Amino acid sequence: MQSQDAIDAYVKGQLTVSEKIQFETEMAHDSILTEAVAQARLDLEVANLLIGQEVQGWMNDWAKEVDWGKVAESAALDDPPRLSTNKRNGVFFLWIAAAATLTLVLAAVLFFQPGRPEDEPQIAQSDSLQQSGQPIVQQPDESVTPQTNPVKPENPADQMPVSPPPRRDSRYIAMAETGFQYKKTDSFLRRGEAQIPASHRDSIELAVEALQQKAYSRALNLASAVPPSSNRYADAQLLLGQVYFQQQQYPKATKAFQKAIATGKIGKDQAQWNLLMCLVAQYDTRKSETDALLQQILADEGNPYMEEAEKLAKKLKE
Amino acid sequence: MDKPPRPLTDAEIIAYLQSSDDALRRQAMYALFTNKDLQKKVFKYVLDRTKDPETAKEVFQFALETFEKKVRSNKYEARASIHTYILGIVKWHLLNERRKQGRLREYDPNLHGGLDAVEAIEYDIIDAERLNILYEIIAHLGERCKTLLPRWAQNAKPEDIAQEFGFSSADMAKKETYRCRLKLKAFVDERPWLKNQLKF
Repeated sequence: MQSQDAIDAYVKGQLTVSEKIQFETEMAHDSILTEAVAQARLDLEVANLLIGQEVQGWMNDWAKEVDWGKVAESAALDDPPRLSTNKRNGVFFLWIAAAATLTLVLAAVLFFQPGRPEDEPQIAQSDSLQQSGQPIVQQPDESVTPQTNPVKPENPADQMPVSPPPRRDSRYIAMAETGFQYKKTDSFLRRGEAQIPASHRDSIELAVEALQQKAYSRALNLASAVPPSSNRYADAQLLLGQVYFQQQQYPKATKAFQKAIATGKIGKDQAQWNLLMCLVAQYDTRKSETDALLQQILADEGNPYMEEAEKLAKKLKE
Repeated sequence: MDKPPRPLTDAEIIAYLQSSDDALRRQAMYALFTNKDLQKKVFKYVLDRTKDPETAKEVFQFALETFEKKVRSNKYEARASIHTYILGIVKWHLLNERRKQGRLREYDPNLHGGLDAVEAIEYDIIDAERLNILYEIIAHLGERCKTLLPRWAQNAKPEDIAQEFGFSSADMAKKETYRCRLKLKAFVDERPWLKNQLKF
């Protein structure tokens, strides 16, 4: 039987080719060694997941320092991909042909045009302009802010406009944050959770535990891992929505609340209201969706959020 | 005034990521994460195809995470620059997403364009069910083991671990690490069904 160090070296890919062959030959005849290797692989997988979580945590911290809007803007304004050499050559010849045709047409017009008085045209044109009260040279309109022209993509597949980075209006975010209804994290626990031994807690309960320890990325991973087939899926999505909203990741929060509502397994009103708050936070870019959902709540007689919805409608009109 | 730090070379980034020194690993990841040129390349590629800045941000982080994992596990082969490699991960990720949605045509020039130059980059995705089990295992490890096991995976020297964790000797560090691994084993042994689920 190989030593633990040799097993570790094997699972970490640190053996030479000949050592690896020898190890695998031995493993083929030794079920205990096979199991020890499987266990070492699991140890490594768990350790790697922990390292990955740590790296994710770093990146989540650094992400706050980066202005992603600017990154998206600069990427969108970047030069469109250059045409391939063949295409460039084709375009070059097209230009040559167009220029030659234009020269021929101009020459023909000049050659065949009738003679005309030499002193009339330009003076008459400038007189008429001055008489109409328009300046000859157009003055810049100072009320208009100069804007750069968008770069036209050359590739037809790129002709859909690149959506600008979402500009967030702090007024709408403040409205959304005031209105959002947080559920206590304890309410995501199954009843009698106190009696559930730690070893039998489900993903959501582990996610809640992670949230209480402020391990947000772990909590998000745990809640995201709940599959749609699980009877706790709606709860997982509600929890995700809440955490994403708290982290100001409004598009993700929106998706989570939509998924939770779509299950039809939860009381709709609060989730629908929170979905509305996610949309309000993105009102600049999702105005029509927000207005439609707001109207839906206003038209729903007996909706517990009717009063808040009416106030919100007024605020949004201001 | 201090000079701004010199940007890290590709070779330095790889060496730092493979080291067991946390500060160096962090420095290498920070250099990549805040590299404006890389951010722009990834965003341009993703925005051209998805039009969604939020997706671009997610894909950027995912690609860096995958890259770090590849380097750490010695699966990275330096056949191109790091930026090209990371962009390759982005391209394959978007292709896989399309494939999952069943929206991939046999050849989609919008997605496959320029991919010929980049070799297929496989990345290991842990399925949700397995991930769930792994998180359960982690939740029962205890804080010390959660920090000790990564150090073992990073091939940190027992002497260094002893110093970091305040163990009396390198032997003690080895023993403690082994104890954590036994704890993990016991958790699985007590739940035989997990072995099936983890395809032991």
